Amino acid sequence: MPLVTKPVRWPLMLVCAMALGSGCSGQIRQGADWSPTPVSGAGAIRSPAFTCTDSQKKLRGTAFTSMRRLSQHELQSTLTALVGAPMMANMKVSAPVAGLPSDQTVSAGDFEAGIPVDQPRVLNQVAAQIATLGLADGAWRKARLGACAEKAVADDACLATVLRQFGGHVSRRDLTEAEVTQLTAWYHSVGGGETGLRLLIRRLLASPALSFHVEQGTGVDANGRTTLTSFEVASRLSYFLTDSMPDEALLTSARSGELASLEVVRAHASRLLQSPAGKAKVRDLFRYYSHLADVADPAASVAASHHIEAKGLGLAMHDEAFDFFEDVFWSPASPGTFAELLTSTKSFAKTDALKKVFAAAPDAPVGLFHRPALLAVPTERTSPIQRGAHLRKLFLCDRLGLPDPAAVQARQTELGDLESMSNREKTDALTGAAACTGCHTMINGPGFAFEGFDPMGVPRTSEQTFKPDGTVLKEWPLDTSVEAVEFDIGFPTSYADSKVLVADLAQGVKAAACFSQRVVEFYRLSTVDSDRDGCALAEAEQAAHAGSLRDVVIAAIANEDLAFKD
Amino acid sequence: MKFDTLSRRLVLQGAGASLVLPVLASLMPRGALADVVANAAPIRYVQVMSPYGPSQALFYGALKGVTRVSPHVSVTSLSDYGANISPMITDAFGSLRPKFSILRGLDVFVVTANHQFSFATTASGYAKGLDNDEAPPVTGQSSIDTILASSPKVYSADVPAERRQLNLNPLTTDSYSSNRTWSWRNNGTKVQMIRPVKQTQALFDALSAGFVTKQVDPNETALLQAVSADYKAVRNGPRISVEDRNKLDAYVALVSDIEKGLTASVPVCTTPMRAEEVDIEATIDNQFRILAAAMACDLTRVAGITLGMSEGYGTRHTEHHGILGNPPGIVADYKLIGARVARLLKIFDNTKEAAGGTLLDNSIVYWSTQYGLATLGGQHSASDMPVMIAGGARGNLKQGRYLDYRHEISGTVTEFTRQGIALSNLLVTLFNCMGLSSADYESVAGQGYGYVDPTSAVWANRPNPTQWDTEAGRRSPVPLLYSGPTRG
Repeated sequence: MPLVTKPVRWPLMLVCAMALGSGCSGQIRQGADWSPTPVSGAGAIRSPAFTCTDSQKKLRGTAFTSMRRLSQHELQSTLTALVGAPMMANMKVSAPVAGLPSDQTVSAGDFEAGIPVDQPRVLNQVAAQIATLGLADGAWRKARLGACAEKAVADDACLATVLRQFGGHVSRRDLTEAEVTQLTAWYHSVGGGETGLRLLIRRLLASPALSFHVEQGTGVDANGRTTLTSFEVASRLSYFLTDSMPDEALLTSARSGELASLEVVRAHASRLLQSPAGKAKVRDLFRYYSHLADVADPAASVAASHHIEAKGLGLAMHDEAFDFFEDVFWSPASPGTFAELLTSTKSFAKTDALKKVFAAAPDAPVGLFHRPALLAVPTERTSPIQRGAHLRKLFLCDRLGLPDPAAVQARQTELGDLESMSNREKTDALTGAAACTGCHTMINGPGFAFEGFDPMGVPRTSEQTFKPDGTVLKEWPLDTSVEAVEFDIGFPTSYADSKVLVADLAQGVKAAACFSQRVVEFYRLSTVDSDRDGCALAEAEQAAHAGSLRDVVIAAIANEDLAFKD
Repeated sequence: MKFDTLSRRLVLQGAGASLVLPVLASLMPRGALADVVANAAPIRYVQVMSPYGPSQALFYGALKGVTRVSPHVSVTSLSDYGANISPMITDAFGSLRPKFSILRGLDVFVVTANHQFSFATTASGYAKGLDNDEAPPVTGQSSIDTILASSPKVYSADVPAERRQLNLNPLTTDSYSSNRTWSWRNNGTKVQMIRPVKQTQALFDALSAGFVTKQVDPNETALLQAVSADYKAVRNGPRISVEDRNKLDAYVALVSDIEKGLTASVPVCTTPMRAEEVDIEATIDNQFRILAAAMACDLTRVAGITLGMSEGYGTRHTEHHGILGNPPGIVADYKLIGARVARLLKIFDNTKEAAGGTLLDNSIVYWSTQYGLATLGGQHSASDMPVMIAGGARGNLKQGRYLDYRHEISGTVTEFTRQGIALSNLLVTLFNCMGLSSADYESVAGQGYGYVDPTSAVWANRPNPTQWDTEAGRRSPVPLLYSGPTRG
């Protein structure tokens, strides 16, 4: 299939809208241009499925409106690919790059567009170090610059080899003859010889390709989009999936024109996804999707009730959740689907303490939403509001308005101390005012459903608090039922508990669509635009319903959007 | 240059001696302002911020506005209190007490008050529906430090961008705030958070050009000119958007800064001492000393410092929701933050300036937190922001007092419902100290700085509303703190 000409076939997308009559929106199709103002007005759950209309097809790729700078990690990886890991192990080289601002994103749109003010100086400093260290090492010269340059650059022919090899790698494309000629002239103008070579290496390492994803394109198509060169397509694909420059195989495909075929692009995507850098990025995808930067240790009294030491348990839960995600994503024995992610019964506890947590209820559901890492809190009581809001915001991509803090405070004051109540009673009382019910109808329901799990994420049949020694201090009956809450298109509105709720979400549209959106946001380091990104989102969502998680990533990245910019 | 100077200065500083740095006009780096030439020290601005927000008891302790000096301002001298003002403002601040004031009753009048990093430095919340720490301030304005850093009233045009605005964030243990600052920049298309410098060496490198003597190598100039040419070639290429051209121009300007640094007659400033970074406190102190040395040598005049928590979001966020119960972890962190701020102020106050006074006397150090004081049900609020303003701003600030701007308790107004004035006016005060007037910080003439949501319930209840409803009111400094010229 050609990368840019043949339209993709689309499944019939479910379109449905339900009036919710609240201040919260269950829409998923918000993008970078999403207007936040409707949240305070009457909201409605719109279709959670993404669409790819004919007009959207003409917009493919136009969400790429400008050249993005390289993130700190991309710069680090690119330098490593260019000069080798041993060189980057030198603190004089790696430390200045590590000192640049970190670009790890937590939410879509976090990535700061502006170049860090210290980056040109750092790049200049690092390039000087690399040139000095590299040129003093014959093996490095031979490997990176070419065999003819192992000891010295004897003539312009050797210099041209250096430029084509090292300069081409830096630029992530083949240099033109004019560029080689121009750089050769400059080499001589600064003295030639070893001095000239040192300055040339520094110049190349400080070039625009090390700071920006330079995309100049080849022309403009009938829809007004700029068409990228095959080398630029290769770079996009590689940076999206590995945070680094294209490898030789990808550059070779770019050079031969093979990347005009979507099948070839997807084959490279599949290969890159499975590379060490691709796998590391998949692990980071889970951090982004789950918001599990860290997991706090549970309260000591709660841990004591299970005869478990709390210290270190948060980290063990964190690691277990990541291992679980990676297993679903990668295991050849698993279907690796989104539904499996939500319903798998596998666990990966490595510490005795965490094994006890899982052993406490061996038949309990353990899919992603039921993992201890996602359910555990460091307090002695769970928070249905927090759990419900997290499910809605993180995993269903719902937009939730915020309460007026003054109103919350007034309500708290009016009600006084609620700690003698069960969580459910307390939550109902706090959020029972007319101004609160719109949003809290959406939030409290899932929160109550997950009340079947204690503050450590262990299943429970009653709500309890504990004395420091772990014996029961107070106890309340538990009610995990949910009534009349919309979760997904065409699905029931009443659930007995979180297990049946999650089973439905696993088969539904909304959670899978949300995961697809998160994948696009994460790999593109951007918010999504429901029009311009609609086709990529729809393809990713289709994969989430019908394929594996790997398919979702491939569909989100290796698609027609790669070939264009605005 | 490796920041590894274990010099005699280390011994001197360890013994509590002053760090004296040259501020003679002839030794100033290019870009020093006219007031320096006139032998007056420049005024420096430092904001120190921390995640979450303390309780009343933690920050203010027993402080009480005793003397009502105007209908809506009560005052108490800090000297009336014992060694420890509060758990966060302890005897570690000791002799500095005449050099700072503690302010109460400063509100950000927004209806959106939840996770966000903009309240204290932009006096703004975020757009409704965007519950997100990095949702930009709804004003669309840059934060105060960014406005100062780009103002010709603070820096002359040839001061490199890298030195105009430093952002330190030395802690690495807090996953929530470790990559964040309270600095926001409007880059023309959107407002985004500025990322911090984490490592001491990186901070030092950003300033190192001012700490060393340079020998100009013509090849270095040729190289930087060639690098600039490479970026210009892309910029002038086909199918490059205006936005991309601006980005490339900005990059070329930064390369040009490096080139200028090669040839500038920069003085040799005293290299700050370095202690072995055996723990986070040593790292923090190293970075504080670099900042002080750089400011004393006029390498920079604007900085932001993020002092995070010792644990990340999972633990501290939950504790913050229960902060009225004094969870030991977050309470310990807040006490530690107080001790760190005291150390920063001492380092500044131990730095004598040739033009007179200490670095602290010629600086503004603005200390606040992400949220206002925690109340029952209102832990993530933007009301009642805890504020300390330290430093004399070269005589523009009257210090040593507790200033309470809230309603007087009477009738239906209780301690619980006392309302304050707009934090916007505090930031106006700081702008005024730095020589900026409304024309420099207003994006819409007459609106003042920051944002006041007129639909906010709290806005309707503010004390002395007529004062703040007028254009002049919005452009006014907070009462009784500022003693400089009227800026308008």
